[in-house]
Amino acid sequence: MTRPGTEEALEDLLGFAEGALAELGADSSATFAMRLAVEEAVTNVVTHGYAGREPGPVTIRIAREPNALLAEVEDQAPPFPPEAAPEVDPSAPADVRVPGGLGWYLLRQMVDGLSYETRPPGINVLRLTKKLTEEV
Amino acid sequence: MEIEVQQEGDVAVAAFRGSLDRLTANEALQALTQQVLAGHAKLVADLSGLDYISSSGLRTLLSVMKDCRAKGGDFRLAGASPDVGKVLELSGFTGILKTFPTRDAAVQSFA
Repeated sequence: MTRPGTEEALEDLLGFAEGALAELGADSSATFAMRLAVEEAVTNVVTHGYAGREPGPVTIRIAREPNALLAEVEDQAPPFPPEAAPEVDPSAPADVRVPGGLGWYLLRQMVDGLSYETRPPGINVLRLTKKLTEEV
Repeated sequence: MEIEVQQEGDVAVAAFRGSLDRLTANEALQALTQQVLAGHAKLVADLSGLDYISSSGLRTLLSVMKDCRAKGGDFRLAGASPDVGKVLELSGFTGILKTFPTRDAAVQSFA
């Protein structure tokens, strides 16, 4: 699914991810994890990537292999490789916690594989993999 | 997302149903802030009907906790599913907010 990277389109984008993942019939924990990872990625693009500029498109692709859930999030915002995300200390006490900043941290925790590339003419592709195992 | 608030003694219990995500986090924040402003700073979130949470939802929980504590109360969580509980744990929220297996246990913890 492709939509403009706007607040107004978030309902469509996140609704699509939720529905497409549910249809794949993977176990509920893996489905939950991939839904969360995709939401954080899409939300980051809309909130930060396209902030202060004309929003470009966001594309979400969801697929399943026998032993994995796959997702791609594509955007045309300025490149933001995952390693550029701020470090989060989840053991920080309440009084020094500022709301927010957990998105990339949780995204990384949720998936087993993550790759990011920018290809001409400035299309960023985030690929996410969540393994499906008996133990999950 | 639905939130149903019930008063149990001097503790308000907000029962969540559905998804606490980027699409619903603001609405939830407004509903809960309203409770705190109405003087219900001893607040329990019954998460047993919550099937999904993202960082936007966590942000709501953290804001409400700060509001409750600023008013001399507290915001405590109850009944999180294993998946929701895992997100709370990974993000360090189980060390910041008091969590209980059941709604009753969370309510009684204020006694």
